[in-house]
This record gives sequence, C-alpha cells and structure tokens, in this order.
Amino acid sequence: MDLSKYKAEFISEARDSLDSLNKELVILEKNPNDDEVIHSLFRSFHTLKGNAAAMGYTKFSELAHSLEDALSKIRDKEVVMTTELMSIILEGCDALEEGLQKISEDNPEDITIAHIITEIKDAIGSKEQKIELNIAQKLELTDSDNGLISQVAGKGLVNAYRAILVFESLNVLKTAKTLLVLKLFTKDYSEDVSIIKTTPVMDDIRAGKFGQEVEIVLSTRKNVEELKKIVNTISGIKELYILGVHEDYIRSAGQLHEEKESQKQEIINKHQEEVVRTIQSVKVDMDKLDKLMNLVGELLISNMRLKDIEHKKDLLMLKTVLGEAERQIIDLKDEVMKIRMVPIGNIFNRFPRMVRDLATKENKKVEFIMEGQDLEFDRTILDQIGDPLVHMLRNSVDHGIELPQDRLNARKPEDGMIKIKAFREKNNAVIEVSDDGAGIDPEKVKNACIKKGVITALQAQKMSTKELQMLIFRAGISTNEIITEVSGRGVGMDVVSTSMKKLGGAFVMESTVGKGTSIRLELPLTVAIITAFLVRIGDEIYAIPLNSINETLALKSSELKTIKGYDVFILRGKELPLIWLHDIVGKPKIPKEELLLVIINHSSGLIGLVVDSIISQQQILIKSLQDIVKGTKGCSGATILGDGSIALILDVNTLI
Amino acid sequence: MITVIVADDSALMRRVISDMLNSDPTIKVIGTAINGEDCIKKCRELKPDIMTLDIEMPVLDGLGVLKRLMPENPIPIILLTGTTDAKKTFEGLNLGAVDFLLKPSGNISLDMDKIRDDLVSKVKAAYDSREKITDKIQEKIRNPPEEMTPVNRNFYSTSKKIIVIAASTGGPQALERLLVQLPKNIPAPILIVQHMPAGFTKTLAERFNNACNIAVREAADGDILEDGVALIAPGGYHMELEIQDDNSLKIRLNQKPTELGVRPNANRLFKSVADIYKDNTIGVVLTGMGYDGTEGSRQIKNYSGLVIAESKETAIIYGMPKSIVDNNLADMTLDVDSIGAALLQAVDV
Repeated sequence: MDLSKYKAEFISEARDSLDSLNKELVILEKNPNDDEVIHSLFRSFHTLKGNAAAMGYTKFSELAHSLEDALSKIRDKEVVMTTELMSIILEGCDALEEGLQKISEDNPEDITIAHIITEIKDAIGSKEQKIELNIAQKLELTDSDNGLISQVAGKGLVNAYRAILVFESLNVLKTAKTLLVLKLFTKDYSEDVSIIKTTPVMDDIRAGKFGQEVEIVLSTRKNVEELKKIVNTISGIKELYILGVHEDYIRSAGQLHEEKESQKQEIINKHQEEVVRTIQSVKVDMDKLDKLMNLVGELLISNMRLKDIEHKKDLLMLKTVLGEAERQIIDLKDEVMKIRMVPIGNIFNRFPRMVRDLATKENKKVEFIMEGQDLEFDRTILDQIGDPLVHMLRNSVDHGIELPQDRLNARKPEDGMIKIKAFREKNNAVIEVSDDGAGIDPEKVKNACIKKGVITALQAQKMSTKELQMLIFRAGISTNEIITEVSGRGVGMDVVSTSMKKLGGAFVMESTVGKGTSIRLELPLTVAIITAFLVRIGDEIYAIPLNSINETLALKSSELKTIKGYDVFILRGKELPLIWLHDIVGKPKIPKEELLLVIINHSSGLIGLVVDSIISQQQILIKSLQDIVKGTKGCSGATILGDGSIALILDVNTLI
Repeated sequence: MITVIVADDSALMRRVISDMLNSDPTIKVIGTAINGEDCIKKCRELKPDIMTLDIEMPVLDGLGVLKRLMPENPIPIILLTGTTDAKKTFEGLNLGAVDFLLKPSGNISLDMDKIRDDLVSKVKAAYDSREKITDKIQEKIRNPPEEMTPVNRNFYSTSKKIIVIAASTGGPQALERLLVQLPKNIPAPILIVQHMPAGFTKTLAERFNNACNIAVREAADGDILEDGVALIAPGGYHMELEIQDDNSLKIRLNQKPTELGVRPNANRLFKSVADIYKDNTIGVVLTGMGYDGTEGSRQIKNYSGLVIAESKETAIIYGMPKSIVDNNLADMTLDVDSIGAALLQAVDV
C-alpha cells in the first residue's frame, strides 16, 4: 500500500499535535494534577505513535511510544510529575519536532532518540530521581583526603589542585571524555599525578550521573600551565578550570552570560521559525463547507433561471433574478473569505512554551496569560503577525519582567505577569501584549539612541516621555542595546513597526517606568475586500469603509451651530463636530438647505463628514496605493468602480 | 453495498482507514466521526451497516460510545485499538463490539496491506452476520447473562482426556460463556487457540481467570498440563504438545511461519494433541472466520476422538464451525451455552 500520499496530512496533523502538546505541557507543569490535561496529552502521544507507525516512521513512533508510556504512568498515578520528568518530556517533544522536520525532508530515520528514551525509562522506572550535580564553590576536604594529599606530597607531588571540567549541556560524550581525562592522569602521568578524589564519585561518573560539571581533585608535581596542556589534548571539553584547593569556583559571568544568550537565541530561533511558518493549509469546519455547497447550488439555480429568461426575453424577471444571483454571489464570497480565516490561537499555541523556556533560562518567574484565541484572522495577516509578537514577548521576558528578588523589593508579586490578548474593538482587531514589569525608561532609550546616532541630543530635548519611549521602534537600535548599553547584538522592535505598515495596521504603546508596558497592535480584520459607502463629493466619488461609519444623517443647514469657528450639530444632546470633505479633497462647497452627513468613528470621537450624496453601499476590492502616493494622509487605498473609474478609499483616522 | 462509518480522532487515520475500506468495491464509507459525541450523532443520522471505532477519543471515548449506542442502535462495531489497550479492548467486546483490529504498529509496509485485508474481511464477515449480531446484542442487554454456577460433580472416569478449543472472531465472548460453565475440578486440561495479536492473549487470560472457576493462563514454553487449568496460546506463537525424553508432556511454543494466515494455528495444536491423546482428544471449534481447526479436527476424527462445533445460532461468525460441519467432522453441533454440559459428559466417559 503506497503511504507516501498521506505524508502531507501526517505532517500537518503532527504539527498541530505538537503545538497543543507544548501548550498543555506548560499548563501541566503549573497544575500537575490536572487530569483532563494528562488525558489529552496521553491521547496526543498515542495518536502520534500510531500514525507514525502506520507511515513507517519507526524512530519517531518509538519516541512517541516512550512518551505515551510516561504519560500513561502519570495518568495511572504510578509516577509523580517532577521538574526533572517535565524537562525530560519537554526534551522528548523537542526531539519529536526535530523528527518531524526530518520527516518532511524525507529523512525520517536521521534522528538520535536512544538517549532520550533511556532517560524517560529511567525517570518513570524508578521513584528515585537523578540529581543534577553542580560543583560547589568551596572544596570540602575530609581528613582522609588531607591525609592523602600530605602522603603524596612526600613523594614530590606537592601541588594540590581542583580541576573542573565543564561540558556542553546535552553532550552525550561527557562521561567518555571525563574517563579519558582520568585515564590520562592515572596511566600516562601516574608518576606525576595522583587523584585524591572526584565529584561525583567514580561510580556515578561512569553512570553519567552528573550535569555539565565534573571535579577532579589531584596532587601533582606539575604546575597549572602544564596540567592545562595535558587536559587540552582531549577535545570536546568546553571549559577547564584549574584552581588551588582553597580557591573558590566561580563560574565566570561572561561565560554565564554567553551561555544564556546562546541558549536563548536557540530557543527563540527554533520557536520563531515555527511561529512564523506560513499557513499552507487550513482546517475547515464541515458546516462552512456545507454552506458553500448550498450557496453554489442556489447559484446554479439562478443560472438556470437566467438562461430561461434569455430564452423568454422577460426583462422584469431579469431584474429579480439578477438581484438574487448577486446576493448569492456575495454570500458565497463571504463564506469563502470566512474559510481563509484562521483562529489566532494557532499562532498563540507556541507561546506558552517559548515564554516558559525563556523565563526559566533567565531565572525569572512568569505567569503567562492568553486570551482571545478564538478570534479569527485572515491567514495572510497571521503569516505576518508571528514575528512581531515573538519579539514583543521576548522583550517582555528579557527586559520587562524583573528578577524575582527585584520584584519583591519593589513590592510586586514574585511572579511577573505577561498577558497576550486578542479582541475586536470598534473597527479593528486588536492584539495586546502587556506586562507588569519594569517599563521602558525614556532616559535609557534617549541615551542609547543618541549614542547610536539615531537621534541628536537636540532632537531628544524636544521629545516627550512618550516620544522617547517610542524610539524603541525605530530602526537601528535594539532593546538589548538600550538596556545593556552593549551594542551590536539583537534585532530591534522596528520589526513591529514594519509589519504593521505592511498589514495596513497601527500600533500603540503605553509604558510606565516601574509599572509595566503594554503594546497594542491594531489590525484590519481582512485584507482585501471590504464593504463601503460610496459618496459623491463634487464630481468625484470616494469610498468610506463601512467599519468606520456609525450612522448617516440628513439635516437642515439651519440646524447647524457654530462653536469656536467650527460647524457643529447637536446630536442626541452631544456636540458633533462637522467637517466638510470638500475642504479636505479640494472641491467647492455648494451651499444647500439640506446637508447629508456620514458620521464616522474617529479616534477622538464621533465626527460628521458632509458629503453631497451617498451613492450606494457595496463591496469593494481594496487596491493599495503605490510609490509616491502611498503615504498620502487620509487615504488607505483605492478601488476600481463598476464603470472603470477610480475611487479613493478614505482612512478616517488619518484624514482628520 | 456495505455502508460504514469510521470513527477516529486522528484525521490521518480516518483517511487511511476510509481509503482501505473504499478500496473494496462492495464497501462504502458514508461518513466519519471525530469523537464519541460526533460518532453517536452520525450513527443516528446516517444509519450505517457497520462502524469502525477508535477507543482513545476525546469528549467521549469508544467505550462510552458502546455504552450509549448498543442499547438504542446495536450495529456491528469493530474496535480499532493501539497495543496498549488490551483491557479496554476486552471491555469493549463485553459491551457489545463484535471484533477488534490492531492499529498499525510495525515498521514493515507489509503490515498495512495485511491490515487492510484483515479489516475488509472483518467488515464483510460482520455484515454477513449482522442480524445475528444485532439480535445477540439486544438479547444481552435485555437479559444480562445470569451467574452461571456449574454443578459440582464427582468424576469417575480413569482415562485421561484432554480438551482442545479453537476460536477466532467472536471467540472472546464465546469462550467466556463456555469456560464459566466448567467446574474447578474438571478432570482434564484445556488448551485453547484464540486468534489474537500478541499482548492481548495475556490480558484475555487474566480476564477469564477472574471470571471463571477454572484457572486460565497464557501458555509459556515448557508448561506442563494440569487438570482444571486452561492454557491460551500467546498471540504470535504456535502452541503444540510434545513428549519429552523422560516421557513427560510439555507445551512447546514456536514461531514457525503462520499457517492459514494465523499464528497460533489451531490445526497445529489439534494435530499435535491428537497424535498423543488419540481417541481421548475432545476438540471444540467455536465462532470464527476461515477454516482453521478443520484439518486438526480431521486428525482427531482419524483417531476416533470427539469433535464439537458451535451451532449456527450462537456462533457470531459461522465460518470455522461451518467448515467442520460441511466436512462431516462434527459429532455434535451445539449452542455455546450447551457445550459446557457436553464437555463434562465427555470427560467422564
């Protein structure tokens, strides 16, 4: 049976599963007894295992199987969920991600899973959990240790050292390397080196029961340089410290920072790629498809009737049937557009894991809340929005949320809060990322920007706090540089600014030093087709998006009032400022007794736009303006009307 | 046209299984369901002949579906299970599912072809027996089987008899009904071949052991025969009886190639036992597809042993027993509830 035709489907379903898995694992970590999540996780691994087996992806299936076992034991309460176990399971999930990537590259067996499977087996087999070993700052020597040191000193091995080997975190060869070093000392240099003790003990070293660090206490007649030379003959050791036995072992801050940065970058890159992958296929509700089928059926009938009318030349019926057909076509278009809509939860699903990993690496405590996952967006928007959101979240964790102690000192709860919320508001869809962290310090931003030449000191003087804060969205500067004043690294928040422009959206930021930051992305719900009023101003036609319109009104010019030189109408007890579109577009105002108002939702409130007439309400296809006319204030595009003429689409927020 | 609904929470599985079924010109998949609730809804709307049911599904799992559906709409249901689901599988059979099939777990693409063939033949067999199956389920629900307490007897016969049983589709249900009828002190060992994948036979044996008076275990290589103990051949192994050098009898398991497409194969068991026990062999052929058991029964009859076939009325799939009857090898054809009494008489002669 040829299974290759199912490959795309397998990958698509597995991707979705992995997304949910990551999200649910983070939930499980916080609530280890949530039975529903446990069952759901079990089912996900179970399905992944079965599907992969059916497709012949053995290694992937084996890995999924061992994860299924782990979940099954957790579900049956035979094993307790610990941080250790959680990390292993997450590691397993990452390996599954890799595996899926290899599968899509037609190289399904090119993954190493043996070590993870062993880790999982160990973790769920015995109740004893492994202890991650970190070498202590101070070396503790027992009496017998000291005795041994004195003894060999008598033979000329007078220098006592702590040799600390540091490995890459997932180095599977660390055991072998350590044993090699020990062999070097005890065989080749047995005359010159005597091992006093090791941490952990030899049995544990052989069993690999240590983290990244191993310590060998030795006495030698050699000096530090010579010792280093000897050890460096063995490759694969990341760092080597040779300290006096009374010296403190302090991991270098630079090393720590380097480590953190590269680990962070790895995570970001990985998750960013996943988040940002374009949506090639969409899951469609059967109901939507049924509706489509019905509409197509109705259209077919209309078509038949039109043919009949052609035959009978019945012009009266023609109008009716054409009207029906138009309605059906509009409905059909609407339904198809709806199919392009994808819930933003698809993108959000990756975030909990990403935020959790970042926070863990930074030793910060973060509570991550998501809301509004059901809000649907056109898929082209979702394709673009992943990048900026990742950056915003990263900034919140990196530079927003403070370390737990700092937060406590500031009388904030130890857990930082980061929230991402998607919701509809008036005319737009909004995605808001907010945190209760340190806020954006305008002074720091100012200094970094001046230093980098983004602005001059003179310009900076004239800027308000808000304007200074907004500088983080400029190209040429990154938040990292702002905070650490270390230049060079990091991608700036200007990606937010660029993406929003591309999508025809906008963004707003509020930040208070010490309290937190909130960034709102405002987006159009769909990209291409909108409903609009066509209005006539003089001899030109303009389109006003229906989204922006509150209502229309006809009034007598005598009802107008003038306040501070502006025309105003009292609408339901409130002052409604009036603006003559003729003034804005440069057409002569013809005084009339009756005025026609289109009342719009402006960011500052309701405004009445005076037009000559309202031609129609209809669907229009937005065509973007190019080149020099692109940035025209007040215009968000143009549309081509039925007769071939062009109408500009007014953007109410920038119009006034 | 046999109409089928495929229920599974994995879109890939739904597609693969539907394609497998649709590849047969007499079968048509008329709908799919993504979870238990959806499954029940679709069954009510579309009224399929047969349904394939995944056990692990969200919202309502396979067992939940059986509990809700069997009382109101008892159609033949074939369970699709993963290797870890043995206990749940048998519970499902108990709740009224007809048969089960293991979801792909191997790494040979041959697996998929075999699974497709198995699936198609199981669906067809279930369809052929659908009225009987429906009746049985309804009967079971109306009249749940009473506690069958076997009569305690004293046995006087001195010649050592042995009972060998062959069962396939519908076997677990039939075997349970049969074995509970046997008293603890039945003076004969019982050897059973139930066509079933590896891993499931152990759980099956445990189930029976808990439900019956006799002891029931999965056979192991080297086991000796004991009266009142039923040994079930492990899935994936042939089971035979062998005389050792010291003239003792031992169970031998092997993994020689499948015969008639099955391993364990009942013919092999029946023949090896008949060669030793000769006319003291009592063979029972229960419900199942195919012909396994026929050649073995022929051998038993050659030695003048006894052969019982399950009746058409109670056999869920009247395939294997029919072959016995058609070949004139059945000494008697009995409803499964009467086979117990017949065996007790037979061992006492």
